[in-house]
Amino acid sequence: MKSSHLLFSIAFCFVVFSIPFSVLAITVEITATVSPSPADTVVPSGGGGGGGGGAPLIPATNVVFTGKVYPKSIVTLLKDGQVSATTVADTSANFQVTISGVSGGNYIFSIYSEDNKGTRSSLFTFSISVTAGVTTKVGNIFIAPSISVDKSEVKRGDNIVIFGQSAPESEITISVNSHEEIFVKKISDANGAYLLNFDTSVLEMGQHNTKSKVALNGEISSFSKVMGFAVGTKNVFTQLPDKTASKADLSGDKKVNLVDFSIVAYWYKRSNPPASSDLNSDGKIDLIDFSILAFYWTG
Amino acid sequence: MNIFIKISSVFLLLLVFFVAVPVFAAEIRLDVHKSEISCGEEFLMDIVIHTDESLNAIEGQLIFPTDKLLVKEIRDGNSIINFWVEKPRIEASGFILFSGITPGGFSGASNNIFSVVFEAKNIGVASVALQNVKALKNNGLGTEAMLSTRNTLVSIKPGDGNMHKEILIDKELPEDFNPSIESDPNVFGGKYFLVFATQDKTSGIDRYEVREGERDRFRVAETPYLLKYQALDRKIFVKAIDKVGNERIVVLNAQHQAPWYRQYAVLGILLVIVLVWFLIKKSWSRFIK
Repeated sequence: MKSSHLLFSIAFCFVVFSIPFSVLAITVEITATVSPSPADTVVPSGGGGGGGGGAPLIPATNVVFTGKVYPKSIVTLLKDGQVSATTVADTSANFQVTISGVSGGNYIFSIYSEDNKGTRSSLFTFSISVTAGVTTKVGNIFIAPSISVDKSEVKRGDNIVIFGQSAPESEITISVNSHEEIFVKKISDANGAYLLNFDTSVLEMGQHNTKSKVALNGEISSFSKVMGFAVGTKNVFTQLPDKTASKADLSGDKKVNLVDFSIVAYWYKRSNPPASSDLNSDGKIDLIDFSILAFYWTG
Repeated sequence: MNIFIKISSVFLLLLVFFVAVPVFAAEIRLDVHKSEISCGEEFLMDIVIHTDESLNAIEGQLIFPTDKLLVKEIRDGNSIINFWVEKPRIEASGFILFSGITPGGFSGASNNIFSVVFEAKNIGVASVALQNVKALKNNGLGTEAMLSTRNTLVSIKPGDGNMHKEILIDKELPEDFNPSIESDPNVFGGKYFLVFATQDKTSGIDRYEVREGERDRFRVAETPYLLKYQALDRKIFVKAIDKVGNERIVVLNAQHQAPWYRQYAVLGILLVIVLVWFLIKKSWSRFIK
C-alpha cells in the first residue's frame, strides 16, 4: 500500500511538473544581440563649439549605431516605428548611423537593409533607454543575411538554389528543415553573396523552409527570414522579389508605415471593410490585422 | 505511512514552489510601487508585460472599483507601444480600455504598457484586475500568445493628512514629426486625409489638433483626419499636445496656390486701387465744379 502511494505520488509529480515545462518549451525568435553596456555610454566633453557664451552648455542627446549589414547596402533606422535616418554601408558591410535631438526615455529602434537584388532583411528591433544629455553607443549589430530561393516548388531530386547576401567572406550557415534539420555551411564572396545548390533528394515530399545566419570574427547574427518552398513533382520558378513589401502595403507605396496604419485604423470597428484592409480575410478589422501590419512594417 | 506523508509533504512544497514560477511565455502584471496606500493619497500603478517571445500587439481592459479609486491621470509616454489603436482611456466607470501595436515586436522583462495615477478614495481593499487581455505574436499571422495575468489588491489605510501627490515634471515638447497628406480610394471616399503621429517620452501625447488655413480654428483630430478643404490650397497646422500642455506645431505648406480672390495681398492691392480711383474721381469732380 505504501509503495503504491509512493509510486502514485511520483507519477503525479511527474505529470504535474511536466505540464509547465512543456509549455515553456517554446520557440523564441531572437533577431540579434545588442549589448549597450555602461562602458558604451559616453558623456560628451561639451567642447567643439566656438565662441563661448554666458548660457550653460546643454549636451546633445545622441544615439550612435554601428554594425554589419551587406556591402554598399542602404541601411534604414526606425525610431518608434518611423524612419529616423538612412545610411549606406561601406564595401566591408560596416555601417554607422547617428541620430541626435532625441529626448530621454525608452525607445524602440529597428534596423533593416536591402541586398543587391532588392530583397529586404528581417527587421532587427531592440529597446533602449536613452538618457538626456548623453551619447549612447549601440554596437555589434549584425543584421541577418538576406535569403531567397529560385523555386517555389521543386521536383524531388532536382536542385533548389538558396542564395542571398551578407558580410563579405563570412561563414553562412543555411538551415533546411526536414524531419531532421539540415545545416550547410558556405563562405560568402567578396561582395557578401552566397549561394547553395541544394539537392532535394534528401527531402521528403511536402512543404519545407530554409533560413540562414552569419558568423564573422566571433560575432554571430540571428537567423534570417524564413523562406518556404515545396518539394513536389514539378519545378515552379520564382520571380526575383520586387520591392513590394507585402499585402500589408495598402497604400501601394512599397512601404508599410503610418499611412497603412491609418488606413487600417479608418476601418477599425467599421462594417464591410475592403478586402485589401482585412489582412487575415476574416471579414472584420481587429487587432490581428494590426499585428500583421506591424510584422511587415518598414517605416 | 510515514513515508507517504513525508513524500506528500515534499510534493506539496514542490507544488507550491513551482506554481510560483511563471508558467506562461508571457505575463502581464500590475505593479504598485508602495505597499501601503493612505486614504487621499495618489499612487502610480504600472501595467507591464514580460515576454520571452516577440510580441507586436496587445489589447485589454483594466478594471478598478470606483468607490475606492479615482483615476487622476493615465501616462503612456514611456510605453512599449508605438501606435495606439485604442489609446488608454476611461471607457466607462471603473473601466480603462487599451489596444496598440509595436512594429517589429518587443520582448524581455518589465516592458511598460502604460501607467495610471490613482487617488485612494476610501479605506479598504481595492481589487484591480486585467480582463480580456490578448497579446499577439510577431509572426505575420497574428497568432495569440499564451499569456498569464497577475492582478493586484491595493490596501487603503486611513490617511494621516500628509498626502503624497504623483507630480510629473515635463518641460520637453512632443518630438518633431512629419504629417503627410494622403488619399486612398478606400478611405473617406478617396478624399484627401492627413496622417500624423509623434511621441512624448515624459508625459505622453494627450491629443492632436489640426487647423486648415491661417484664420480657421484648431480642431481635435486623430489619424487619419479628413481634410475640410480638399483643394489643398491652405497651410495646414498640426499641433501635438502632451499631457502637461506642452505643444509642438508642425506646418504643411499649401500644395496648390489659392485662387486670386482668396489671396489677401491681391485683394488688398485691389482695394487700394479702388479707393485711390474713388478719391481721384471725387477730387476731379470737385475740381471741375
